[in-house]
Amino acid sequence: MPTLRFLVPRLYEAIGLSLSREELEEILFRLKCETEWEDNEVYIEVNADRPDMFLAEGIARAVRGLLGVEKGLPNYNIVDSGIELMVEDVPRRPYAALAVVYDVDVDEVFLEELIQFQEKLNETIGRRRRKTAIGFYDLDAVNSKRIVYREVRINEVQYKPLHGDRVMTLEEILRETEQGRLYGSIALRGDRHPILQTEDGVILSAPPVVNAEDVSVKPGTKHILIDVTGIDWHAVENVLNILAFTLAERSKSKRVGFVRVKGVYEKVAPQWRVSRIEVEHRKVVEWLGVDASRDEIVDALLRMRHGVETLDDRYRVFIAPYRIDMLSWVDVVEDIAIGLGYERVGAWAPPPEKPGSLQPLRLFERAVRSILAGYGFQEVISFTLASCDKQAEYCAVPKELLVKLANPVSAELTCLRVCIAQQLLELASRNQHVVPLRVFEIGDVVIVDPQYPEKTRVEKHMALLIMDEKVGYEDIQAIVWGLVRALGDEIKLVKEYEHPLLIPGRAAWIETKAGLEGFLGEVYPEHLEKLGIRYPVALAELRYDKVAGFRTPRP
Amino acid sequence: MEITLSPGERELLEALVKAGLVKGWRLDTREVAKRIGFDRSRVEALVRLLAEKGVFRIEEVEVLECRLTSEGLESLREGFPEERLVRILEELGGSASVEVVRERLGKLYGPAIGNAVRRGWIRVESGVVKLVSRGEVIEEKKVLKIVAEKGIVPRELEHIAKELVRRRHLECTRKRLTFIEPLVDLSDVLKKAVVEVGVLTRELIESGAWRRVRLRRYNVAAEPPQVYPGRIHFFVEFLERLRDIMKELGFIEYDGPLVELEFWNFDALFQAQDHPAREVHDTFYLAWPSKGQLPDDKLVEAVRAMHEKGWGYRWSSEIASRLILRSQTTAVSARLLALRPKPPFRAFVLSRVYRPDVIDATHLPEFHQLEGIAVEHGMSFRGLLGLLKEILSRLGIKEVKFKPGYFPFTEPSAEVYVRIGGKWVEVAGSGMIRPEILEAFGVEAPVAAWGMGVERLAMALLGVEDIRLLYARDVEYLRSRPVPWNVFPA
Repeated sequence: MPTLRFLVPRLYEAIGLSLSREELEEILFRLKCETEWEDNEVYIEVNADRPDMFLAEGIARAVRGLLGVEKGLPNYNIVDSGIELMVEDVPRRPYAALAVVYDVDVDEVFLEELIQFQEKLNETIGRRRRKTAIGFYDLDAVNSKRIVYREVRINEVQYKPLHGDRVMTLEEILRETEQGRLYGSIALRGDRHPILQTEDGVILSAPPVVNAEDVSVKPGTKHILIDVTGIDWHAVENVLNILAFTLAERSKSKRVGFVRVKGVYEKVAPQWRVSRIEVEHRKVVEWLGVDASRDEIVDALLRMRHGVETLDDRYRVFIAPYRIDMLSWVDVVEDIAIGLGYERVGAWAPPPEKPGSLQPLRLFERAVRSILAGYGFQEVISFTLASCDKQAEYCAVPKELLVKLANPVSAELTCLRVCIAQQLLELASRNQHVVPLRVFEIGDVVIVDPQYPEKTRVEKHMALLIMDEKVGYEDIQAIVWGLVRALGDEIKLVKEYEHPLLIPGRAAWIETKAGLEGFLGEVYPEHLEKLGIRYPVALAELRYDKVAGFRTPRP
Repeated sequence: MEITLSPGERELLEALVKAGLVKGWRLDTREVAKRIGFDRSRVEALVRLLAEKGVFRIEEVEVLECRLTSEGLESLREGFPEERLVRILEELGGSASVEVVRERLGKLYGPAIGNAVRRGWIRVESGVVKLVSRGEVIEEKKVLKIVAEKGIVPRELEHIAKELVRRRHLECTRKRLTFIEPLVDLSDVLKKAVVEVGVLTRELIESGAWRRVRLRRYNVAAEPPQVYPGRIHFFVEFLERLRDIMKELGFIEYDGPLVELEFWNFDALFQAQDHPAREVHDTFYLAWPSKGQLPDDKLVEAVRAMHEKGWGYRWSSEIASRLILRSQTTAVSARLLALRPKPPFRAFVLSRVYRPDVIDATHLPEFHQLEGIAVEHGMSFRGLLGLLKEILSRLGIKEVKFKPGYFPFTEPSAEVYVRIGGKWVEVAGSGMIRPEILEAFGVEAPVAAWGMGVERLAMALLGVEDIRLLYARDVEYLRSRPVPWNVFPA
């Protein structure tokens, strides 16, 4: 979720109402925002579905609406800018659009907000400029009615990049500037890259990388020319609408100029095209569970800055083009809930119609826990993430059976575990001040298994470990046998078992009647030495998900 | 007088009485030990305890312990060399030449002449030894006699013993002795005493001897040694309580795979394929195995249609079949909804999810979510908020507020905040599953859904400051944490 920073007086100036901080915070909370105050600054976390609120004026529009100061659709003057955008074939980034917002009057503070608006849009719906990217220009500095979007050879074009101190070729810009390095590869096609320029050759920018310094927006800029480029027309138009019709709130004349796109495709944008969604009154009441009156609902929609027509059994809702989050009737219902306030919706838990239940294996787990606690074992919990190397070594499985992460965050957490014993051994090495140590863990392990659609299966394991001055096979055997007996189960099979972790002749594989299976034994001193453990250790690990009767019924 | 005796003390007194040492004697412990056949150290320890109880007086005495050398023994038997010189002179008529005397006395000549002269018994003049007065060694002989009998020199005779040491008649060392002396009649003490024991043993019970003993009183306020019970992990107890609450509210528990297809984790939940949550910063991808198998075509096509219509892009089944570690338990809800549960159907999942977060005091790469869905005719947003409040109130949380939020798969959505210890904590995301998704799955009733961050809730309720402590590797910490029995309402 993007966090925006504003100067407190600027935010109040945009909202134009006298509200206490608490009141403002409360109203922003209702608009999905979290607020943090810091001296003269305020940080507002806006939800990603409301990019029209990434600017103080956009927040103000929503706040004034919810407070009932300004209701319904806003009004802007849509005029012909007289500008034409000639689009040529740009294979890696085909779409471009322009808009003009007049009488914005940029000062230093607003310039920062403008850049923040641009950056947050680029990061979120722009998908780090890959999907869409934005440029702002001083309309008077551009001083041309015909703009061209085309691909050029990067060594044939040169301009002074934004905040740059010299004219560079585009090749140099891509290679040497920070923006070039970050975004230079997005639209580059061999030695070609898209640019935006005036008909007479003045470079505006090389989208989606960096604008030209000479035509950039500066304090004192009156009218702003906006460009949006991208890989999808719908997305480009959405972003252009958000920009133009939110910056329009800042315009003294509320004037937005559209631009004709010509060339490989023909469009006119931005357009104040209000979309229409109809929703039945009954649906609203059912979905929200609130018995709100028609008037309340209409008022809620108006406060959310929508237009409404009331029909017999339904509402026809008109949605401004900057509200790109409104996909269907249910989005309208959410806005009604927000307009009403969640407090008004209320909360009431319907009583259950059918009894609940736990997974059958939970009761087994609870029994195991109480038996092992009775034997003096302390339960521990480890991550299911573990080290690939250690798991492969101590769990005695080939590496192909381990689930391996592509993007681990730590060198110690690179695979899902296939056994718990390895983690208990590591825990033992860290707890040599707690001898005698008796610990157990119950949990999931994951093993590669091509039979399943997920190519893996989850097994439920329990592992037990004893570390003491003197401990051996019999000690762990006594506990395991006792556990099996206490569970009303019976050992069905015991055989000598070879496991690289365990001493030959002091390790066994067991299976029980109910379906428990696993190994137990004394840990080979070489492993103890390697882990720095100075005491003998005996351990066991049993799989229990095959115990009969663990199936959860299909819903 | 009534006194309490330990079994050891009693044994000593019985031995003394048996040896006739009932009263009116004074002996050192070494002697006592010898007479009753005990170790001296045991006698020492026991009489000190008995002295405190007023049975004995103890006196520590420093003595000179000596033994006779062969010279000493000879002097004791034959007389001192100077005495023997006197006897020779008397025999020879009061004087004799040096040569004669030397011949008679042999190696004793030197000490005999020297001591006799020092005592003024003889004079030696121009080669002749003359008897002056007839003397006898009395004191020295007495000391030799005492040493021969007792081995100890009384303090008033120590100066003579020293002289005898110089003359190599004695070898002496200083010793401390403990003299004991009964203050009361010991057989009397035994008759009246009560025996006290520290441990009640099987032997005492079986022999009936417990009737004759008294159990020692404890300092009941003294700090005992620390012993720890075997314990269920405190966080597990919290998880189990959550499960019980969900069951009480009519929810059936389910779980699903930890390695999940993107399809179930994202696509089925209307999360666009280029949604930021699907990037490597927010989801664990797998190097092995990396590709899974999509469910049946009908469902896949329904999901494709939902995406292409709703978000306007070309949906890729390639992306949807990639494998990840489940980043939200909602993936299990998606699987359940795809089974078209018959309403009313309430299900919950309490299991692990994974996010590529670096471990610190508030983040772990894996944690638990409590996922719930309620598929019911008549289920509403109000019902959802009610269920959440109910769950939280059963955890003892009364202050709850709902903030409008955004999740791609729910509308309306609410983030759930609770106040614990004066602090508002965000604990859950929730909402009504979008009708587009229900349609794709063929579910006929509205579905309320939520995912709760369990660790956060546990930290707030159990007062754990650092999330890592929930997975603590230090057993000392785990076993010394109190059981959270009183955290939740009964």
